[in-house]
Amino acid sequence: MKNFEKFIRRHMVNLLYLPALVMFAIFVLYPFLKGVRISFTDWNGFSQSFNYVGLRNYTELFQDVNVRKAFLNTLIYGFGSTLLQQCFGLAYAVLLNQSFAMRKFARTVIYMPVMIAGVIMGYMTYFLLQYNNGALNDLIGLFGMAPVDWLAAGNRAVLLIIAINSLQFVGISMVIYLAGLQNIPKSFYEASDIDGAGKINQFFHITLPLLKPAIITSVTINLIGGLKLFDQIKALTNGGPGYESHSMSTLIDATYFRSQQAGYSAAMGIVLFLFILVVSLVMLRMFDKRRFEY
Amino acid sequence: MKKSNLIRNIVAVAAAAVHFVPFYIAITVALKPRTDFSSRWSLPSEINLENFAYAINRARILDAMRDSAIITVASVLLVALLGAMAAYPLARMKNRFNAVILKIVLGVMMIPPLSMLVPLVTLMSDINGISTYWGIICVLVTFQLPLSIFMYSNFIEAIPRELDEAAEIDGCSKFMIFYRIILPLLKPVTATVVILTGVFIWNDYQFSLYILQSPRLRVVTLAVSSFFGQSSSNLGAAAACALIAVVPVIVVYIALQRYFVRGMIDSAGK
Amino acid sequence: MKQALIAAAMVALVAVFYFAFSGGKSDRTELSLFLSMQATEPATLAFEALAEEYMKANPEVSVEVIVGGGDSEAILKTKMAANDLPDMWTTHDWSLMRYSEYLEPLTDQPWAKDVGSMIRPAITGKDGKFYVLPMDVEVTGIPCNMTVLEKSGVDPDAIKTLDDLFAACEKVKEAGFIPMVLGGKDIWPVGQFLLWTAFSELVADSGDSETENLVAGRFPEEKWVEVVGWMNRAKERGYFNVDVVTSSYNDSVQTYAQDKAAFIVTANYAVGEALTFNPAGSFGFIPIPAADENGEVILMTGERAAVGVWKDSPRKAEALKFIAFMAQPENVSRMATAGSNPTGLTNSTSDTGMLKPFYEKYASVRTYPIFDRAYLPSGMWDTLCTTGAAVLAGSMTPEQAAEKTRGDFEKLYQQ
Repeated sequence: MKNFEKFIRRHMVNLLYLPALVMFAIFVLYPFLKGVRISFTDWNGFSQSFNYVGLRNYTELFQDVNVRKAFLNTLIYGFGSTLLQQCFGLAYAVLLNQSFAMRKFARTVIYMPVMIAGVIMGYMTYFLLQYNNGALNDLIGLFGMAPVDWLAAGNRAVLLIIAINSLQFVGISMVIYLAGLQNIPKSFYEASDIDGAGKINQFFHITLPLLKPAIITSVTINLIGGLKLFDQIKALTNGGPGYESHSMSTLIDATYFRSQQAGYSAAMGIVLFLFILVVSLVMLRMFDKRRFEY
Repeated sequence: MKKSNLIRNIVAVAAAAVHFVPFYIAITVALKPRTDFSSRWSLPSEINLENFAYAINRARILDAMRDSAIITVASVLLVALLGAMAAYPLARMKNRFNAVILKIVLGVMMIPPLSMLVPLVTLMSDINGISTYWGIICVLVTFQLPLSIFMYSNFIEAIPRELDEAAEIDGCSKFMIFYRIILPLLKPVTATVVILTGVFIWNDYQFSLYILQSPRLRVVTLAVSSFFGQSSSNLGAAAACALIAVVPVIVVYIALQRYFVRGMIDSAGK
Repeated sequence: MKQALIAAAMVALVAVFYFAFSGGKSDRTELSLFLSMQATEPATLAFEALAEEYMKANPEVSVEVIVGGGDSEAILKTKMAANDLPDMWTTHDWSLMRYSEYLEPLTDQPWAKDVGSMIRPAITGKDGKFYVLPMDVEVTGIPCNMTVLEKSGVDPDAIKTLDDLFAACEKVKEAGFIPMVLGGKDIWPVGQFLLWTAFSELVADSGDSETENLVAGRFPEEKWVEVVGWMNRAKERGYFNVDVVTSSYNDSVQTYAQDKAAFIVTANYAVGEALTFNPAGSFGFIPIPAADENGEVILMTGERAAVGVWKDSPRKAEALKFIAFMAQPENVSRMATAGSNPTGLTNSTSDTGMLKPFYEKYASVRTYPIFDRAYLPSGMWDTLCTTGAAVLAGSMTPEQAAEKTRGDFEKLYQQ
């Protein structure tokens, strides 16, 4: 009995996460389980009637070339924009961590696109990339170049979407790295100055290792954003040309609302979730490793 | 030294300019009438405020900003409070069960909302949550909580355990420790959580689209999307609307910027 | 600072609860009318004006006009799934195939006898019931830019067959204009092109119409290769704009409005939209050409300002009263005039604006309901659009597109 009381007292504090769990249960778990049920039907997404079709949606899914393409694109969007944002975010942070007149201004402006809704950013950049009257084509026109239909080739469209997504969200990485840099004690650099290490050497041997926690935070946030990327794709290419630039999110949306195959779409959602779960587990491993090092 | 500063200034301004291009284009589009097909780079020959008038009169963007502000403030308060509460035991009470909970949290952060959108909307309609403040706030809070828990638990882990232990010896319960010791230390990271999740909530489109259905309760993204239709759209008015909607966010950001970076330092550091 | 923040937080929370629990306690019956339109369209303004007037005359009722905007269709689908719909909504060509399960039949309404013969077949189901008040009719052919046609030396009246259309395109191309502008990013304009050629090849072909086969569930795959083939040839011959797969519908209207393109691949509503970009433009339309000399030219009819009532609405009686108000001849006339469309009820007239001479000229041309909604099972519209888009993007041949279309047809037909 005493042990039990002790157990309760010890674990009572876990009650603090109960509200959060209750909210997850109501607004995530319950709809998600209903989504699982839908994935076994041929529901069209709006009728009150449907039939159960067993695993048909899942077997079809694994043979669908468009799904395969979208899956690959999702990975490219996720990891591509994460990579790009780390490179630029770190470069901006290193630059703007030094003291000079325009640094505050630049920090604010680079962060500004983060504050715009993805849909709106998508349209703004569509104005930039469109063939007819597009801002980029006007610009290259000044140099006598012929206009280019930037989003017409699938691979280029994917890369441009990554670039736009990074353009918008690199500010988050920048701030995280700025914070990380300011956390590194100056004495570390001074010591290595005495040892005669070069700037580049310092960066790789002092800065990067000490930024590890910042890197993990930044990568997590960017990766989630990239894997879920939706609004920008919809506004820029709408998944086209053909199915070339669909991510799983846009394909799920198109399958649900345009093709009226809600069951199939739900199955895609489940598979995507399972996949992302694996990614998140792998990432958690990384966190745990970090913890051991401390 | 002088010369390198000049170069830094130039590089910084150039980078900022690239990130400003989308805004610049939105500004020129918003300031031109529909009949003006000049380059997106060129400023209009005369200032045309028709699109801003549409944004205010037709999309009622100011009303939408009020509704968005109410939703954002309430959601952010809950996200910060519930997030900090949940993070404390998860960061401090390490056991297998809590590790699973943390995984669930991270999993939720990564669920594509689309995969459960329709059941969620059906649920909201069953519990009469459609077109209500509490309905949209509950949903937005739920989907921003994981990020908040993630940031807070990273931060709490960096707080020396000795603080807790000292308090425990003094006879404080875990709850008291959380309230008296940990909570006051969370101020900087709270600024970070508030800014990160606040921006996502202000800009939410996917949930608001389906959950807010009444003209009496509309958020800014819905005001912007009211200028799009299948057979007709008014991009200039949409751009004007979007520009008006982003102003308060930028103002708040500039006001909180200092705390934001501080919070990041503390949560991304140690 | 701290106190200020806490104070702000408290104020916000109080405000939230105030707003959360104060609303909705009104004595008036609140009707909702959902429009699949954008905020600055003339039809939206006309609906709002009618609602205002109705509220003035009936103070016990308030009519809330909801501007659905860009994702209206998705919103309505989600609301159907939740079985929680607006009291009334515009059905944008889907009153039968998509919405009839949720709509109140309006066949017994006093104004039902006045529904015009042009729109009647498009909104009437197999059981003879219809579900909307069609305030106007979308009568559509292929919208054309008269200035461009004149400059290219094309006589629109001479276009009777698809070959004529292609010959005209060749002339336009030689004159340095875009023959047909299509905004393929939005996918649905692609389907619109296939509606034309499907009509020509499968319906209006006097010799061997396929309509019976289609209705009986037999898909003419070989002929469908031809349907898609026209689009493929148009692409190969450079009749479309360069950015056909990446540009939006809105871009295509701008190109058309600026006298850069002869035809636009959408429907007549593009004309009203084009006039907002170029009020001085001269626009018209031609009927959809036949496949060959034996066939007939035709026009398509569909729903524009067509409003239906949710059959399970707790305020159905009041909603029907509002519908009756809108069905009054002068209101129908105002609505149709706002959209520059012919009216849907025979007891009213409308000003069709710039297209008036064309409606008069083609008054005797036979009209048909939209192809896929009349002859294909539900769900096929997306197949048309996506296979067509794939052909334009070069990732499918017309043969593959026809094979995929047959597959989907057979699958969906059985459901």
